Amino acid sequence: MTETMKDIVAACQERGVSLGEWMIQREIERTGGEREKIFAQMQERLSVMKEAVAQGINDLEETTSKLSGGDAYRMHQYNQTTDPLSGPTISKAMEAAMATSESNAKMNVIVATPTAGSAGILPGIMISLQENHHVNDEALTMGLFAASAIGYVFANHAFVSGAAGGCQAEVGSATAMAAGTITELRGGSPEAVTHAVAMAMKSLLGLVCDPVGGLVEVPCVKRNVIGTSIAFSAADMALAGIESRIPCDEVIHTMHTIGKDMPGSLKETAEGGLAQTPTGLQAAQRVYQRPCNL
Amino acid sequence: MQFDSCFDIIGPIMVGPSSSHTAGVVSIGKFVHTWLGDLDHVTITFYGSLASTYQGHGSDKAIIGGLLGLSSRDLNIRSAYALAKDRHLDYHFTLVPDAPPDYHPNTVQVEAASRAGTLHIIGASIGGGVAMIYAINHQEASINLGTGVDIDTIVAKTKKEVSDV
Repeated sequence: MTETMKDIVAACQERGVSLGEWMIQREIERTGGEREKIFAQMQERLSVMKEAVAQGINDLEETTSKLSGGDAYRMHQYNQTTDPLSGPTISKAMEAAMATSESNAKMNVIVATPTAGSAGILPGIMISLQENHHVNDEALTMGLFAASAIGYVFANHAFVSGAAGGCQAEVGSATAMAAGTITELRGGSPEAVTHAVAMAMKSLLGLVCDPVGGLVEVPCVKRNVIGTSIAFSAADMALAGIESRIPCDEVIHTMHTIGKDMPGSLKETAEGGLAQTPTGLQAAQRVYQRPCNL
Repeated sequence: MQFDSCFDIIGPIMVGPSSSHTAGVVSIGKFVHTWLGDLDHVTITFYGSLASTYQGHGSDKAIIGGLLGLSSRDLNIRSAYALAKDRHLDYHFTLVPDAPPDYHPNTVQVEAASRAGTLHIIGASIGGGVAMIYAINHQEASINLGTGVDIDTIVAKTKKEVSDV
């Protein structure tokens, strides 16, 4: 069986390293590749994230379904001209998350983190940490290694696809990864990281995958946006020394159990939840007018 | 272990909107293209979630794109149908929303023919852009098409194993 969060924390403590450093060392050992090349590969992902956001906040176009698009621009304008209630850190993350998820819905190029449906959350928190807290590209890249260490546990001990485990496996995992990454980048210990991960995941347990028309738009885009604020809340709690009363690995195991129990209608089939509302069904009808060549 | 690399988690760099219904599906198509070269005829069967939601996720464009040899970050995936027409690819889709219970919810079957021969595969896109090939020409297989995997290398290796049997 692959490493649990507990195993990774123990290894980090033994070597005196961060989760990000543990993950890059693991990748070097696994592939025999050079550190610089592996680091550059991850840095390329950060660059693609930034490009998607830069493009997305200026894109007013709607998607072909007309279910999303243009909201990142609205959020950006609002943030520029007012004093957002969520404060600069969270409001910037919301805007960047929205830009990424809208780009994804338009079939633009994004980075799956861990999936495309949940691709907005990590870029959201990364860009905000850079803009508001002066975290440089090198640190952010190490943050992506930390995020992948957390996601690696979720993917191998539970699941990261909505079809297999519901939205809790996608937006839930991504939000937990983001919470842990913020904690690490703000100087939290590996153990504090696991508490942030656990607290973020606990607040999203049971979330179903109910995309309108089977599109990655409603409710996916806004769930990514709100995921960033959950990530910052969980990280702030962990950095304050607050612990999750249920250990992180038990929370991940619970997500797996709930996902297995979840009915198929709520796992990316568009047969339940918001997909089956009158408005959702109308939207689906428009989309399903495009058959593949049967 | 199905997710082994950090780039299986942070990655792939891909055209949206879904890592499991778009990017992973491209990889399954690309596996077939790499095996057979440019294809003449292909029959694609989508099972389960893929059969229910392929339109919204562009899974049909994704499989066609992969079968034409595109990678998951190639924006031409959006125009896969036009490209298929230009390259005279003859394709047919079958949808089976009620997948057999032992199938992953995102299973794809491909029967393809090119000048180089024919190939029958069953694979699944298991999430996060990672795909698996479970059967090749009706023989059981377990090939991981993760983000860090070089498809050329894996196809060459698999072809050799198949011919050795």
